[in-house]
Amino acid sequence: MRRSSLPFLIGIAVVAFLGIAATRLLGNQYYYFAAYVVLQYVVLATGWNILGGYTGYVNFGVAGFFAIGAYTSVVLIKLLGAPMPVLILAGGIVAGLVGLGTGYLTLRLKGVFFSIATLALAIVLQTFVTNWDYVGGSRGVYTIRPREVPFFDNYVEYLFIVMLLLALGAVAAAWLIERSWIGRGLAAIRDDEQAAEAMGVPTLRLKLFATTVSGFMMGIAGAPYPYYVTYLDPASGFSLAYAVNSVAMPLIGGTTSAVLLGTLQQVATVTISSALNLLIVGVNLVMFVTVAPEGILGLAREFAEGRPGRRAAIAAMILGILAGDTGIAITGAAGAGLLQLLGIAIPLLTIVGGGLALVRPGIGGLMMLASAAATAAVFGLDVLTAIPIAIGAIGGALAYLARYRITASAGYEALRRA
Amino acid sequence: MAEVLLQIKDVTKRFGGFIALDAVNIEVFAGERLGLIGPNGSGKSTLVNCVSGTLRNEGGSILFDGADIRGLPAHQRTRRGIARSFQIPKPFTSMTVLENLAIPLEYAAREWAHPSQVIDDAMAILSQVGLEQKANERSNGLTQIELRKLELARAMAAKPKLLIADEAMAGLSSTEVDDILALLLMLNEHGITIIMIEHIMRAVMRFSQRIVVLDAGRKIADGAPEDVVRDPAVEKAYLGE
Repeated sequence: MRRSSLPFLIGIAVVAFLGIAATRLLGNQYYYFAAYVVLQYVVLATGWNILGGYTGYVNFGVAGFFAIGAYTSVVLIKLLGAPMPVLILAGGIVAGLVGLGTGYLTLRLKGVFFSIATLALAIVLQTFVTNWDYVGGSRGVYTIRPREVPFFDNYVEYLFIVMLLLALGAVAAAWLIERSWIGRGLAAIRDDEQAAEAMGVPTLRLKLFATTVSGFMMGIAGAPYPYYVTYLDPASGFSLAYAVNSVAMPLIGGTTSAVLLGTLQQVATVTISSALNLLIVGVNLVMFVTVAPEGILGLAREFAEGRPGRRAAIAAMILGILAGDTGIAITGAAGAGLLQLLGIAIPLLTIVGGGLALVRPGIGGLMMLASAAATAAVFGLDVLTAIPIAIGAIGGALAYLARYRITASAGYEALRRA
Repeated sequence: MAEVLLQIKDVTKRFGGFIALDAVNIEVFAGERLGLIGPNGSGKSTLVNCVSGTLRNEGGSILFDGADIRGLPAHQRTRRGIARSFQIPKPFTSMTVLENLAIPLEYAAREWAHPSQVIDDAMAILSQVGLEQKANERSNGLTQIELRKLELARAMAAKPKLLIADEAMAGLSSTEVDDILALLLMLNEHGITIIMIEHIMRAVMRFSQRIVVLDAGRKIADGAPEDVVRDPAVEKAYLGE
């Protein structure tokens, strides 16, 4: 039940050190720019997961809490020229308090009604900010970065380190909560709220704790944002993408501390053409929710148990999704018109094939092989297209192996019974 | 005479215009085994919910251990010593059987305990109910009888003074009923007061020192089992005129 937290804490320290070391070695600004966004989503998704994953209350108002952090910063910068630590703390506290208030008003709502209420909160906040002239209203607002920061060559590196520390802090906090009596209480609420209450769990107080901590984390994720973008308007501050990505990461990774596994997907989306990345997240989300609701972690657990054929099917699914994602990124971004349509449609077929591999390996494998062939036929074989084609073909082959193994073991089963 | 542990005084509960409980008075003595019976819809479960705090009664008062507990949320009533099992088992499905017991041990049995102490306590309770083999299995893979036992084990882990067993035997075979019955008798010997709500008359008659009968939200009989079953009002409630 209890494992030592020492290795975990050492891991956190090592990552922080590597991050700081990287700023001394890597010159290219792009890496920090991209890594910042990934880390920001790690904070957001970790915050979301405390309420959504641990407690079972799905919050669609992520953008609202993120924007509270960002706009609190805008106010403090304009009003006082406050330094970064103050911005982060203030953004977190304001968002945490809004979380507490929202929780108090809405936690009597169950399931989908709670989710709708949180979505409404984000819309109300957006309307409010759009009409608030001091923070720029619908025109948006410019924030000038400080010219110099001590110890760093430029501001982007500084922002990267700030977000890295926030991400590590959030993950460590979530990890500690999950393993404490509080985390077990939250899990009891998620499983059965009435039973939890009957077993002495103060459900209302714990849920308010979860909404507050969750809001705080989303707020600190947004606090440095005005300095990152330098121009902030309601449309970008309240983008639906925050909610979609923050929900996708835990659901794809697995809703325990495996949020981090979902980071892989986030790395992919950030580095891929921005027009297509939401599409990729959406498709992956649908895929995982339908065929592997326990996320990568659940698949890994199943893989470890290793029933005949099942391993191959899981591997086939992962490969199918991987092939499809890279396929969309490469072929979808390459073409225009009909070619782009095909460039998206064929990889989508691969992803669906990957998902099917888990339930109907024969059909799934056929789809993966067919779309690998189609990719080669439409886009030709070159260094880039070879990647999704190869991965997809291997996935298809594995799906067939899975099919053979499953029917074979079913055959043995029948023989033994006869 | 033993002291009164639970005093239900003029408790009334309405759902809109429907009166589910109409000025019900019941006294439960410390260490007693009380059977609570009545036809479907007579208000048994509503009464349990009012006592355990899931529902709030509009009228009357509930005294537990001499203190008025009306207005206390359910989890605080559990901490004061009222534990219940649910009619339809409600296990924490993402947890193992052992972890299911850790929740009440950590939250309801008040004194702070070291994690290893919690595990020891949980294992002790599991071996009492005969689930020690299943300690590390996920609770969603249990059979019906195991779920019923887990439900009782979890209530025991709250270290209650009063245990309300809400149809803990529904749907079980006769040997399984005997299992649960033995378990409840053993708990009672350890000093836990028990209210048993049950439709299986054989079990109620064997278990109860006293039986209270509810019908349409009113108490129609209260007394020794053999007297209660002969009561014309009770016969009428169950069989009609």
